[in-house]
Amino acid sequence: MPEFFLPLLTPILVFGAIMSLVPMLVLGERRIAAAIQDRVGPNRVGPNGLFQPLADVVKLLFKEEIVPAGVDKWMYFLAPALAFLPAAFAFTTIPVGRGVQIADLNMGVLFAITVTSLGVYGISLGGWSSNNKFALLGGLRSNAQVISYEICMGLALIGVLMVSNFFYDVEAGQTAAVVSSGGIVELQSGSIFNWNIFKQPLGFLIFYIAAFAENNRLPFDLPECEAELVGGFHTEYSSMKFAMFFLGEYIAMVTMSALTVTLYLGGWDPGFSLPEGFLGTLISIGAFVVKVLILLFIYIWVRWTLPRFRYDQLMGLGWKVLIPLALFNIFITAVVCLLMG
Amino acid sequence: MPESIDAIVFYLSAIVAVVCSAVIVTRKNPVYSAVFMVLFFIAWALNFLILRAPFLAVIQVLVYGGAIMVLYLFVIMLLNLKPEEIKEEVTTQRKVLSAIASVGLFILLAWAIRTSPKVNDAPILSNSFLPDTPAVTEAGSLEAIAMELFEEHGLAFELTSILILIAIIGAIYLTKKGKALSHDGTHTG
Repeated sequence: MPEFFLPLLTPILVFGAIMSLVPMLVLGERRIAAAIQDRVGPNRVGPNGLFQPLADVVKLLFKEEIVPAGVDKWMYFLAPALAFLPAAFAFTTIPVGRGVQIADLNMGVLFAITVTSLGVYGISLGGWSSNNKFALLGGLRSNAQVISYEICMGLALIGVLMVSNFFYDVEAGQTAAVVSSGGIVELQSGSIFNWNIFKQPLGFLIFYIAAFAENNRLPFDLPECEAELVGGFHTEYSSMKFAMFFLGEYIAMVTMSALTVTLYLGGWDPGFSLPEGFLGTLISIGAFVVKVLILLFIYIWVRWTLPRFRYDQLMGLGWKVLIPLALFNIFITAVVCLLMG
Repeated sequence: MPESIDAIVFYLSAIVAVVCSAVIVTRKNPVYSAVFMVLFFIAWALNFLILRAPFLAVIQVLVYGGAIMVLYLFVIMLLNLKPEEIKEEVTTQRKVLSAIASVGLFILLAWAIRTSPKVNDAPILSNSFLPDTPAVTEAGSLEAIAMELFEEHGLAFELTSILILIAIIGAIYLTKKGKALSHDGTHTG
């Protein structure tokens, strides 16, 4: 029955790859942070500290699990799972290589954005159910922040859809809405200058900044902001439940990077025409992975370089700078499409 | 096979939706109501998928699940009322009246759908489950919805946006009422 199991192969491989990437990402973050701060970083466990993630996981598994008094039992247990699942689920519509995609849905891009937007429930419910004022503040901040930056993200996305459909018309001589992530990547393949980052430089910038805010990463990590809120939304979480939040954050980072690569950086396109057959598929997967890793490196690089925004500055940037810029981007794109077509 | 899969998805999502609705109206704690409302929206989005309207399904979860309910939850958490702090008493009289009202609404809607010539004569909806013909998939596609929205109902669409703009201005006015703003945006009085 190999045909029956074949459709299961891609999901298992993709999910397995993400899950094994996350521990390495944590190690990478610690090593890069150390390098930026002129330290050595974890290098004791295994060669060059390579087995450090393993030790971390064992430590987290065997730590005492403390459930504080007065928590809302159901939500307290549910929240870590809610934080972790949506980010992993969003990967279903991202093409990781030529023809390698779990599901090329009609509304692929919208689906990915939708699912990632549900990730905020884990954080805010975790903050609320902990019965702790710091955690509650963290959850509230996360709510407001994600709502605000989702708008910029959606508006930046409109620019991508506009250019995709514009070029689709030119090449195929027909009108059809390209909202599937597979289609958007196809249109960017062939040459490095087909990538949407060259057609939508402003949109890329807005989307990438919004991605940092959506993932609660520094300089926008206000929901956990240890200088003001102890640990923010996960103050009262320990052991494996804390690890689930941690895992959720890193998977969300991978998902957001993959989405940015898909929308703006040509997806699996390596910048030259791929050979036919299995070799081409392998090269395309390699190109995708390299691009995602570069974006993840930038995530870490930014985290250890920039200071944290103040909360009102964060809101000001979102509403007063990014949203008007995104609207301007849509306007300019529309004008250019009109003049060219 | 698609018909039977449609049937399975429909009954599962319908059961989830009904259970969620029951939970929404019976919980004392509004946070639970909000969370089950999100689950309800997701279950309901599956019904749009069965009707071959993927755009509506995605938008339903994106707008209601991902944005509006997050705002609701924000407000509920900001007030953070304990169930015992809510003073309002739910009397038996109110329970009976609301039960009568909801059953009445249900009968009215069921009757309207049952007798509407548009529903009964529509070629698509007269089948119990939809076939995957091009006509069906195109009717729910993004192009079809965009055409309807911007060509057929262009004026109504623009009027709606003005309505929303008025609501936004009104909300801003209400928050600033009685508080003069200085030029650097800080409250002065």
